Amino acid sequence: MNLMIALNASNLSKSLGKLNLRDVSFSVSSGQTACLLGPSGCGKTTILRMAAGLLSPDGGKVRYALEKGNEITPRELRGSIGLSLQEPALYPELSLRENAEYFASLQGIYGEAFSAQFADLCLKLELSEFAQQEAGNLSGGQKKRASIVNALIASPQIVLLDEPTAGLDYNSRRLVWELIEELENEGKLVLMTTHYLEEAEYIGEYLVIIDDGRVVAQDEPGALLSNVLGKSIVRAECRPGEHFEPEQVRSILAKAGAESVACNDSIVIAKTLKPIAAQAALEQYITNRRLKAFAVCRPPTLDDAFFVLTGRVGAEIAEKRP
Amino acid sequence: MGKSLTGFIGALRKELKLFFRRKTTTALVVLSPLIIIFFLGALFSDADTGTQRLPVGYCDFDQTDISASFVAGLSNFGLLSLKNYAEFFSNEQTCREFLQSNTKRGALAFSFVIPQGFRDELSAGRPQTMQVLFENSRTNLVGLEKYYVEAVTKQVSNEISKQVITKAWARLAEADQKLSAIIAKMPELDDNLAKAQQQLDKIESNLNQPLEGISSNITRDLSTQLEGADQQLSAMEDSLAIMKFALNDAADSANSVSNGVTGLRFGIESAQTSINDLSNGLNCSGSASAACSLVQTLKSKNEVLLSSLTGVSNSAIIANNKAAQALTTANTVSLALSQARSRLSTARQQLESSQTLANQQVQALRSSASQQMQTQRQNLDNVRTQLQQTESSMRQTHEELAALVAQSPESILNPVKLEAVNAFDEGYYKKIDFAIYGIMTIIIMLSALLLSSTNMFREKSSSTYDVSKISFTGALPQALAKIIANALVMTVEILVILAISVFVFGVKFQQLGFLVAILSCLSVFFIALGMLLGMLARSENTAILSSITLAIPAIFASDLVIPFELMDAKVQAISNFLPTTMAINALKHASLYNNPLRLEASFGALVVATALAALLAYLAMTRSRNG
Repeated sequence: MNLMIALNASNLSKSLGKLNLRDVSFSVSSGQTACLLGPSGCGKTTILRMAAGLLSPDGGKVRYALEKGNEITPRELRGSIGLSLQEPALYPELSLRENAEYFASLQGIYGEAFSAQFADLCLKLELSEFAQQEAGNLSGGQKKRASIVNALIASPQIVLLDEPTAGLDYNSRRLVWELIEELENEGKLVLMTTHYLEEAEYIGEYLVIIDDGRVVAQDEPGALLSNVLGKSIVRAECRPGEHFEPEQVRSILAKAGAESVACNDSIVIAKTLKPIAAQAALEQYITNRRLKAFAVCRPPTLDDAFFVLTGRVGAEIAEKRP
Repeated sequence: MGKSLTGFIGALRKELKLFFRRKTTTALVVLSPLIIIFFLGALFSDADTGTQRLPVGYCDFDQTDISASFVAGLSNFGLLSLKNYAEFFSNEQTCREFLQSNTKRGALAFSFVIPQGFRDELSAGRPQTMQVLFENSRTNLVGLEKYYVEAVTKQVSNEISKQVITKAWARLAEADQKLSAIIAKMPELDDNLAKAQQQLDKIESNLNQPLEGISSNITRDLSTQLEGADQQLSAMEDSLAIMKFALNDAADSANSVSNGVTGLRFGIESAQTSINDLSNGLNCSGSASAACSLVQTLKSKNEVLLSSLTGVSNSAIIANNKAAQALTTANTVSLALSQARSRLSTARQQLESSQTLANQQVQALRSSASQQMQTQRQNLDNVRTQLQQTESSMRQTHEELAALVAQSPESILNPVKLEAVNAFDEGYYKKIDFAIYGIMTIIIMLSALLLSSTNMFREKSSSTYDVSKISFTGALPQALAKIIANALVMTVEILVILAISVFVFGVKFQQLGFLVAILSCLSVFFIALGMLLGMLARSENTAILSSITLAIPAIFASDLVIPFELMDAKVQAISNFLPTTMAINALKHASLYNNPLRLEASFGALVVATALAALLAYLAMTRSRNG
């Protein structure tokens, strides 16, 4: 029977090398999947490690609130956390089953209980046929999924996943998403990091967008989009070799009634209550500049919001992943 | 089953599986010790050395039995290969320069020149210095080389000394014989001296006695004689006086006689006239009457008487004359006697004076002689005392000399004969039997350190460690599982090492159970230390390098390479606290010395050190888990 647990991170700060995480606060509850979204090096993994109790924050605190109302630290909750890190937690010399067996034993799971859980997870992540293979011989995607098996082998109440679908093909990614949804449905608290905007948008019930060590926005996806960009936006992108003049574009769109404009050399996103006017003004600008770009008016996506919040596009941060 | 126990067993199984799956690690852990033990075993075995010899160059310009003996002595050391370069050079200097040049460029391990006349100089009793140039860049060999040279130098020096001492011995024996002869004559000398002293005593006695006697006797004799003479003179004077009185009486008598005779004559002649008158009256001329015969007879007798009176008268006259003459003579004698008395008095005075002088001179002479005698006596006493002391000393010297020459020169040169008896029978024990404890310790240390430090670093640097950290199973069971798993592997290795030691190198072990326990404890120490290093290291290379950095000093401070007693005091202090030292001591006390007390002390210290290392490793893991 699952307990109701809530993760409360408040005013977290941590300095690690170039990373300077500051004033990070968010909350996640059981039955909720929260995504930490942000560019590489922004501090997502660090937050996740603090949530797992692997790192102590320099400031602030991470606490898990139990149903009874009392709060406990991550370390006090050890054994109830399933963790999958970016690098698959696998001993390459051991088979997939042996790896899982080891991690299950650390949580006090063995025998039939283990076998049943292992078989179930392998089935869900399509790893059954690789169960006896040495982990070192598995593909990157298989290792990633095997790492998730290890994280979930003891049926933890809290699941912390650090970029669980990074490097996975679409099918594998779907399998993971489905598993996460299942966990969510089981009432488990899932906190994951990702740099895939569509993934966050798809499975994230709560998004925490982090940039440069601080939380730039957090909310449920719909609310977050609405808060950041409203109901519709006007967006234009340059072709390679072309570029906008951000100041001029901002000026034109402001005159056209845009509430706010996010613009760089190649992308313009305008939040406006008068999308037609803004679109027309932008197209006029494009025509005048004889650019091959075109302006569209549509409801905002997470990618748009991400650009507005961080100045980066989702594809850009995804491509920057090693 | 409790969750922690499940975790512990799972971790233990995982560690063991990983060890056997990691082929390279397994190979390294299994093969490295084998390689090391075979190599070190061969190194410390009693087998012959290799064919490579240390080149030694020399120039023998002496070409005598002594130089040959020196070279032969060095040649006996199988490690040295000697070559004489004297034939290539005409003089010592060029040969010396050649040898120095080759030694300094490493072509020769050491070199030396035996100069011409080397033996002659030695025979003449002049010590010689032979310079030996060592190529001392190979520090571990130069000590051995110097030992060789010093040993041979000592051997040759001993030989020379033996010859010299043998000659000296012969001389000493001769001297002793002469001394014996002198000593034999000493009693005689002493007797002579005693006699001389007796004579001296006698002389001194005589000196005192005769001088008194002579002096007094002479004086007495002379005085007596003078007294006698004086008495005689007095007697003579008395006699002379009597004689003179007698002579006077005689003369008076003679006169009286003469006067009497004259009266008598007158009477006789009156008688004669009467007779003649009577005869005439008797006219007795032709008558023979009786009266006439009587008158005739009276007449004849009167005539005879008259004749006798005439003779008496004449004799009285003569006697008177003679008495007068005698009186004259007596007076002359009396005068002579007076003169004699006077001379006698003078002689008496002179005698007394002479006696006084003589006494003084005699006294002075006696005093001087007495002093001289006293001095001579003292001298004699001194001489005698010295003679006695000399004799005593000579006897003692003789005894010592006799005892000395009774010894052989060998016993003087090497009075203390070293009988090196090994506590551990060489026939039974080999070098490897003593070195094996260090070898095993080093192997265990290297294997355990490298195995666990790399293992721990890999674990730490992988996400598996992070995942395990947040598991229900705490740091302690996981640390224990890691230590025990590694210790099990090391135990297998220990058994293999022991088996190789026994079956390949023939090492004699005792108390194998203790040995396994000690080595296992040591392996646990280094496993824990390796875990600590692995936890602290930032890369696998750092883990390996730090392991080696710790291992190398431990190897050198383990008494295997450098004897503990030769180490610097600070290094000794450190070495005492090294678990390798503790382990080696414990192993030796268990297997070699069979010393339970020292075994317990060393093993106890090792156990404490191991517990501390395990605690540190655990604390490092806990700290890591706490972020």
